[in-house]
Amino acid sequence: MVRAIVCAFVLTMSTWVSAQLVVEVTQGVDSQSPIAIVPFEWRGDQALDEDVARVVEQNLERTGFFKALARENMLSFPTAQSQVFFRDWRMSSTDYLVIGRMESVGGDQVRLTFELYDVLKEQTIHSQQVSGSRTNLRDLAHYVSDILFEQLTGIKGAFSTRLAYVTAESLGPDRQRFRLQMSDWDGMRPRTLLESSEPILSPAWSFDGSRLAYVSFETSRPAIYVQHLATGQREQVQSFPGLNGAPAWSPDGNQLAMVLSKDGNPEVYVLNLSSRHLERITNNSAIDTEPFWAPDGRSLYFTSDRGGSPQIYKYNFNTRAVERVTFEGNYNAAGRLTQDGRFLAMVHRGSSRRFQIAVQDLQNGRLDILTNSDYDESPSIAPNGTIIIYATQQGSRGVLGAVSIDGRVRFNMPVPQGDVREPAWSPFLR
Amino acid sequence: MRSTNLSKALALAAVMAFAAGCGSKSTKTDSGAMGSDAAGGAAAYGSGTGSDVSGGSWADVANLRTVFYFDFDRSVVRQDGFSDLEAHARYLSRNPSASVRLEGHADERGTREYNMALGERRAQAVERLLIVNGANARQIETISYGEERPAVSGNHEGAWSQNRRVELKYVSR
Amino acid sequence: MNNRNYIVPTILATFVHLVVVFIIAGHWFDHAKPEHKVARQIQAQMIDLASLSLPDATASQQVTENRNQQAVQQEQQRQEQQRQEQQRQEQQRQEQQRQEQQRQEQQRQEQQRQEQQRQEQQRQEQQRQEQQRQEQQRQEQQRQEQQRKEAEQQRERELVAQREAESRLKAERERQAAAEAERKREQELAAQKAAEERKREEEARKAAEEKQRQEAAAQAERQRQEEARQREAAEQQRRAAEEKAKAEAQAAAQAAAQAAANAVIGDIGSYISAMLTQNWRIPATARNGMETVIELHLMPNGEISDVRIIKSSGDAAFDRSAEQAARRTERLPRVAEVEPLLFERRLRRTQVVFRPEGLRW
Repeated sequence: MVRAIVCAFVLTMSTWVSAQLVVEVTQGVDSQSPIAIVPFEWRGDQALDEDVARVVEQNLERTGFFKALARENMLSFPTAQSQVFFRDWRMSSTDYLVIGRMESVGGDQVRLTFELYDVLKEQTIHSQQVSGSRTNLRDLAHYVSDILFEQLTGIKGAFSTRLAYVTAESLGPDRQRFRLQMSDWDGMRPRTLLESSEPILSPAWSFDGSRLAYVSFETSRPAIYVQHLATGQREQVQSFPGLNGAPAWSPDGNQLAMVLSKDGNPEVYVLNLSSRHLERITNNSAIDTEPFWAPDGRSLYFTSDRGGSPQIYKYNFNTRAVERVTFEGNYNAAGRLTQDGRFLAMVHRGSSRRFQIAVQDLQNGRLDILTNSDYDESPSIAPNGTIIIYATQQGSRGVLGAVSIDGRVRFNMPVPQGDVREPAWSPFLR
Repeated sequence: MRSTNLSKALALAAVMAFAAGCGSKSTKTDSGAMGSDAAGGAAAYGSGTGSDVSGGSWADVANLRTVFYFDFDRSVVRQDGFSDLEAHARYLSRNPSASVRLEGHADERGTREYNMALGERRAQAVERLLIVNGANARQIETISYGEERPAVSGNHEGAWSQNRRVELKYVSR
Repeated sequence: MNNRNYIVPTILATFVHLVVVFIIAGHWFDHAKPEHKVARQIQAQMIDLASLSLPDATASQQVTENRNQQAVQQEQQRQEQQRQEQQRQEQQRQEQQRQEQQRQEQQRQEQQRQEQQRQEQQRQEQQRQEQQRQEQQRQEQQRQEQQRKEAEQQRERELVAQREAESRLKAERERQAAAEAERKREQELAAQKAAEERKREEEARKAAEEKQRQEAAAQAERQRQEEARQREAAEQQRRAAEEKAKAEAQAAAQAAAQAAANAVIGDIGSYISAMLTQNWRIPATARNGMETVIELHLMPNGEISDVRIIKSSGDAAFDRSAEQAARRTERLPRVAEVEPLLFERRLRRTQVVFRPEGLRW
């Protein structure tokens, strides 16, 4: 008996002793991945209008996931694999390397061949040829950025998306010019969709990116319009006496939530666009506004001051129950959800008495304040959930700021003339 | 618990009474100061309270206050505007063809759509006062501009307090 | 006179006021509502777009995420690691000392052997002049003699190594048994004792050798074959005895040796973990609960010759970050200090589990 026990003990000991070593790592360095985007070679006569590699570099860096190696710190500028010496890139602490060459392929078409390398593994991660119009090189750059971003992070890139926003310019006493604009995600290449001497606000993209709903005072009364982006054709969908505001699309694109005060108090309604049936959602003597459809279509988030201060509530279409969502701070409004429905971005005012952009994790209720100025508002989340764009102030001017959803990186968008406000990030296009 | 609340309430009431005493004085000076901003408002204030005449003529209304201010995130008409609003209501009740447009505004803090709703509520608060005092609902149109049309620009309470307002405009006499 | 009349009421009034203030203040403070829970402010790194287009601007604010609790925790962990590191360094230092002594000893032996050879050669020269007849035979004998000596030396070195291992184990056991403060001193003592022991043995061995050599020189001319035969017999006896002793010692030492090996491996394990922690850049897509297992292929000199993912987290970026941590590490110098046999058995293929803890999501 004793011998058996001893034997068993020795056996287990010996297996344990000869077992492989298993090491655990639970902590690491919390920093951006270093990447080098080498200027792309251009084999052509006339110089190109855009530095495509630079646009790619800015795109990746603004996500907060990457830190780009400055060009003056590059030891070489390879444009083909044979010129790549991984040791050099390793020395400049680069994890990833992107090189590429561009050439004209007739007409105004250009072709870009690029390669993405894992410097540490000394291997190609991805290589691809893409072509595009020479006059729209930014499209090409955004497309390449999308590919690189997805290869590196597994997250779909949102660089080929658009922003809608409103600008306001003062043209003397009591005269203003409002514009509804659309630009690339980085604020470049803006174009005007609507111009008016009366306020324009609350642009909202349909989930397929084909239509834009917004509020315009052009008739001297607020009314909700829907504009088809492909044709520019637009229609007035709603104009009741009193308030007509805060349009929000349903995920199926067939319904529009909005705020009306036709029954005496600002309340949230849902309009079926095909049947024109209007249904009242909220019924409360307080302010109910800023509806936002959950991506699963099953609930509607909105702002209400029914509890004494503006807070975000959730309306369930099935149970018709209303449930309070935010509890921290004395002002939480303009809630916007990420596509996965997990995070709620909002305007938050807490003990600091400043209006800041915050994100609440709906799984555990945790609230993180992401921005650091006094008057931040109108958060809008990138379709891939990585960046929040918002309106903020620089001096006394309204500008657009952006912050990565983990709060690690912030930057301001290039500013056109006038006040910029009410950004709305498009869904994935195409 | 009860007694504590009671003592607290009493103390609060005392403080409120005291503050109100001080406040009423300061509002008067305030509105006077505002009057110098909004041409002739101070004079209008004087004539509005002073004249107990029936007020059926345009002349009685012409000099009344037309801008009414609000506290932050509030849509309750301050008492200092009551008498002028009553006078406007009297005029409207005696002149059924007259109509007004109430434009509600908010300061630029907070979200735009919430402020739009807030402006609407302020306009509605003024509308209710007018109706209570004899005006007909058909004579009144409300509109909210939210924070889109500030009266004074600037990020300070001085500007904000003047932007939280309802402007009463006669569409027809 | 009137003043006195007022004193008592004044005191009473003051007292009453104080009491009232005290009571009210009590209620006031009791009901002071605690401040609202304050959400965490995350400090972002500001990217200046102007600097992106300007070639000279590079530096930007460092990201300082405000995780107070975590910082404290990390600080504790760091201190703990520091303490462990110090202990480890101390052990390492002692180990190095021992190794140094051993190396010096070997050098000394080497020199002695060379000296012997030189003298032997001189003697050969003389012998050749004197006795050319027996030269071939004698040379043969000398070769045998040298071979034997070398074999003996090797055996002795093995013996020394074994004894050393034993003494090390003893020190290890003592260390585990004794209090933390005492441990270091005792180890030093043990090391000293071991060194002294070795020195004594060495001296004894040297004396014996010297004697043997003299005898060999004296008896070289006559009865060489006979003596060789005798010596061989003695040698065989000694060898048998040694073998037996060795087997016994081995059996006794085995278990203890494995315990010591485990201690070494555990130590190396935390060392590898620390090295990889330094080099692991946790990607933004990482979430709590993700887990990737990689296998490091190590060289005896500590070089990481290959890295393989043997269990994926399902997230390509996360897997790559783990692999890159290993590749960025390149070498694990302290692995080179591990005994070859132990290395071969336990370290050549080492698995590393990457499992982030304390992430935001």
